[in-house]
Amino acid sequence: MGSTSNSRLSVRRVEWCDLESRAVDLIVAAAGYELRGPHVCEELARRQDGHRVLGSKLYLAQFKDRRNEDYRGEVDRRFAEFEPRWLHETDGTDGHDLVRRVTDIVRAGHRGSASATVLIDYSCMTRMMYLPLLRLLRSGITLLFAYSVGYHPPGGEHRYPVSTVGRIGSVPGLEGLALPRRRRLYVFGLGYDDVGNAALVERLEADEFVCYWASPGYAGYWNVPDPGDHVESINHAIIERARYWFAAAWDDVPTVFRELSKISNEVAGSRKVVIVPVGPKPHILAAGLAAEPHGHVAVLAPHLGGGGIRGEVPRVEAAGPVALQEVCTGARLSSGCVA
Amino acid sequence: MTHSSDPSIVIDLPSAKNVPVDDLVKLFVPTRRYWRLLRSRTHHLLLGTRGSGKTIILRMLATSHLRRLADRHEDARRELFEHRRFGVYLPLSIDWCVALGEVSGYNDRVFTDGVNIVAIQAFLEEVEGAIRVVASDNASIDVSASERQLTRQLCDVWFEGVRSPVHSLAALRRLMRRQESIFKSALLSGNPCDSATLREAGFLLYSSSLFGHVQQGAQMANEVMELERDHSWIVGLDELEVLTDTQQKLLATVVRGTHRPLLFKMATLPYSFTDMGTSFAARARVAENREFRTERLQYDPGDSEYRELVATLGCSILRLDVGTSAERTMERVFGNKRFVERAEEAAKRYELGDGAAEKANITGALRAMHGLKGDSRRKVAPVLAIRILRATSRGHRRPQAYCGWDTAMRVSDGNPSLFLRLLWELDRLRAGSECISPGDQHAAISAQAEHLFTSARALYPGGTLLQDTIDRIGRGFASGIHDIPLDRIDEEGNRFVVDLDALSGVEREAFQWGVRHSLLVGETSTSGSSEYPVGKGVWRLGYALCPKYWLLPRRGRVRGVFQGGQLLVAASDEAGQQLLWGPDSSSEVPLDTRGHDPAQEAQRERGARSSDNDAEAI
Repeated sequence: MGSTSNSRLSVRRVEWCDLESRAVDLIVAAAGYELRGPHVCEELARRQDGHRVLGSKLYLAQFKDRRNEDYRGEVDRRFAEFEPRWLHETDGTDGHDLVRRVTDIVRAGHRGSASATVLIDYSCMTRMMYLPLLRLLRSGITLLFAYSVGYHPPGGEHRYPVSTVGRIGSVPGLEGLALPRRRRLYVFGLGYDDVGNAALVERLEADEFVCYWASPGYAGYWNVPDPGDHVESINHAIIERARYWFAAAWDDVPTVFRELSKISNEVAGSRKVVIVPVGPKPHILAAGLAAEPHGHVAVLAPHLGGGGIRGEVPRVEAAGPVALQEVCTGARLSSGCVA
Repeated sequence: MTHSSDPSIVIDLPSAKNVPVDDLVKLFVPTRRYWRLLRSRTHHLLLGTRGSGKTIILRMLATSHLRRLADRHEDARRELFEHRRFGVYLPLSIDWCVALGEVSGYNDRVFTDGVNIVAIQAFLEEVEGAIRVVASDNASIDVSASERQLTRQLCDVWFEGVRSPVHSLAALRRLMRRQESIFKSALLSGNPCDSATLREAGFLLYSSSLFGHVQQGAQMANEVMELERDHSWIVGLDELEVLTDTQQKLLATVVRGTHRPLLFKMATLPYSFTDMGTSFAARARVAENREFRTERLQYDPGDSEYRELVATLGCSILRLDVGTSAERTMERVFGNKRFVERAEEAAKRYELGDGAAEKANITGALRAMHGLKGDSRRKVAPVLAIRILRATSRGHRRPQAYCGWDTAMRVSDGNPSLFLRLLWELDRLRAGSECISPGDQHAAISAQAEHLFTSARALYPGGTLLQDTIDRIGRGFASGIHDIPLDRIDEEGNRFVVDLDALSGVEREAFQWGVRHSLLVGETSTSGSSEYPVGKGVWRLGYALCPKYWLLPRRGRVRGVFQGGQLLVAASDEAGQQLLWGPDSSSEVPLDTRGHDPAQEAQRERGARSSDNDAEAI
C-alpha cells in the first residue's frame, strides 16, 4: 500500500524523515481561517533550515474572505514570521491562475525545471487550487503533497448541517475531453452525509456509478465520534446501487489512486469516467492523480453549500499527523524511508 | 479494503444520456411529438423536467439512432431514406469550455471555439452514416470516394495547414480530438484567444462563428451526397441549462440568425432559458421569435400515448413479452382494481380488526360512498375511498392503498423516469415475480415519495425552503381531504394559484427548482400559455410526492390565490373551507374561468369521465 504507479505517474507515501534531507525548491501553501494552516511550514522549518530560509521559497495564497476573523489574524501572523517571498490573494477558485504563477516561478528559478521539487501544503486549499497544480507533473516536476489533519473541538457537530448541492464545477485541467457520445461512468467519493450524496447522484443523473470512501476515517484525531467510520452504513442506499465499491484509509492515496486508475483503464474505450470526490482531501488528491494522465477521465468539484460551517467558525487546529505523498512522472521515486 | 462482489443486486435505472444506442432504440417509443420535431422545418426549444424525455428525443433525432430505428419502424425508414432527415446530437455540458468560458480573463471565444470543436466531432460521426444512407439507393455515390472527397474539402476550409494528409472521416475525427486536447491545454497555459500561441501549440482549426464549421460541413456533405446545398440537418442541443447567461445569449443570437441547412432542436430545464435575450437586441426574447417554437414536454398521466409509452418501457425493463398490448401486460403485472373497489374490499377486511372509532369512520365513509349517485359519485367517491384506505391501512401491516396500474401511472406524473424509479424501488423489494403484490407496490410508492421529499432539501442551496413549501402544501391538501366533514366534501383538490412575480427571489427559486425535479408542477399560466407559468399560474404538488400525504388527487379545483410576498400557513375562510394560503387567499377560482387552454381542460374532463370506472385516473 506504500506506493503505486501507472505508466505515467508514481505515487508513494513518505514520512518526515524523507524530507529532512530533501531539497525543496518551492513551497506552496494557503492561508485561510483554520489554525492548522501554517502547521506544515512550521514543522518543515523546525526540521530543516528555520523560518527565514523556508520563507525565501514560500509561495502563499491568501484567501480574500474572512480577513477580520480572529483566527484568520492568528494564521496571517504565524505565516508572516516566514516572510513569504510570494504573496497572492485568492478566492479559492483560480487554480488555473495559480498553476501559471507557480510554473513561471519554477521556470525562472530552475533552468532545467525537470529536477525541481515543489511541496504543496493543501491542508487549507480548495480542490480548485491544488488539483490544477498536478499539471506541473507534465513539466517533469516532482510534487510533494502535505496534508495536516485538523483537530475538531468537541461539541461542534451541530455546525455541520446537511449538505446542499450548489454549483457543480469542473476542475481546471482535469475536465477530460468532451466525448459527447460516450456513456458516463460516475465515481463517487462518498462523504458522510447521505442526503447530500443522494442529491448529488440525483443532480448528476448518475445511473451507472462506482463508490469509494474512507475507512478508517480521521477518528483517531478527532475528539468526537467520526462519522467517516460509518460511511458504508450511512450511505447504504447509494452503495447498493453501485456497480463496484471499495474503501481505503483516509490517508491511503496510493491505494485509491491504484483503484481509480484500474477502473479508468478498464473502461478506457467505452466510457467517460467522471470522478466526483466528496470525502477526505487525500482521497480527492488521489482522484486528481488518477484523472491527470487520461483524456477520458474528469474530476468534478461539487460545491456542497450547506455542508459547510454554520455560523461561528470552529477552531480547527492541527491534530499533529501529516499525510505526505510524493508524486512524480515515470518511476523516478527518490530513495529514502518509505512508509 | 473491500469490494462489491454481487453484481446481481444491481438493477438498471438507465439515464437517457447513458443508454447504449441499441437499448435506446428498443426502449424508444416514437410519439407524435417526435415525428413532429423530426419533420418540422423550424428551430425548437423543448422545456421539460428531469426525466421528461428531452434527451431521448434529441438522441433519437441523430442519424445514427434513426438508422437503427429504421430497421424496425417503417415511418423512420421513410423519413431517413426518402426524406433524408439527418441529425446530430450534441450535449452542451462540455465541462472544460463551459467552465472556463466564464473565468474572468477569457471571453466568448473560448466558448465558441470549444463548442465548435466538439460539434465538429459529433457532426463527423453522423456524416458517415448519412453518406451510407444516400449511397444505399444512389448507385452514383461511392462511399469511400465520397468520404475521401468530403474529408479533403473539410480539411481545406476548417484547417490551416494540416501537416500529414487526412484521408478518411475517422482520421479527421482523431485529428479533432487532438485539437481538443491542444486547445484545452492552451487554456491553462496561456491566453487561448491569442492565435499565435495556439498555432505554436499545434492548433490548426480556423476560428468561425458558433456552429459555423458545422454549417459549412453540412453544406459540403450535401453537395457530396448530391443533395441540395441547403438540405436541412437537425442539430439537437441538449442541456442548455449548464450554460451561463452570456453563453445562452450568444447561443440564442446564433440560433435566431441561422437558417438552413441547420435546424436547431434544443432542450433545457424549465426556468433556465426562457427569459434569455439576444446580443443583437437586448429586449428581444427567444420565446417571442416566430421562427423559434417553444414546447413544453410534459405528458398528462392519463394520455393514452403516454400510457403506452411507459408500458412499453416497463415491459422492456422487466423483460416481459408485450403480447397484444404493452398496457394490458402491465395491468396484469400491477393489477387494475378500481380505487373504490379496493376501498370496499379493505373496509370488509377491517371488520376483523379492532378500533371502534376507526371502524365507525370507515363504516360511515362506506355508507356515504354507496349512497352517492351520478356526478356526486364521480366527485366525492374518490375522497371517501382515500379515507377508507387510509383508515384501514393503519390496521394492516402490509397496507395496499397505493397499488394498481393506474396508480403507478398517476405517480409517474407524466414523467417516464419517475416510472423507471418506481420499477427500481419495486425490484429492490420483490424477487422477480411477474405479478407485483399490492403490499410491495404500496411500499415502493411510499418509499419513492419519501425519498423525493428527503432529497428536496439538498438539491440546491435553498433546498430547506423548497422542502418546507412542499410540506405545507402537502399537509394543507391532506387535511382538506381527510378532515372535512362528510357533508361538506365537495371534491378532491390539489391545485392552487401562485404568482411567481409576487414572491421573493428565494421563494421563486424554490418553486423553479421544485418544477425541475417534478416535486411541484406549474400546470398552466393564467395568461393561457401552455408553457411553464412565469407570472401568475395554476400549480399543484407532484403526484409522485402526494403519497407522502396520503393523497392521490384526481382533478380538483384551485383552492386559493397566493397574493402576499410570503408563504403562509393554512387558514380557514369564512365558510370553514381549508385553504393553503391565507389570510388574503379566500377567493376560490374555478379553473375554467382562468383563461387556460380549453382543449386541455376538455382532455382532463374526458379523463375524468373515463375514470368513473377507475377513480384514480385523471
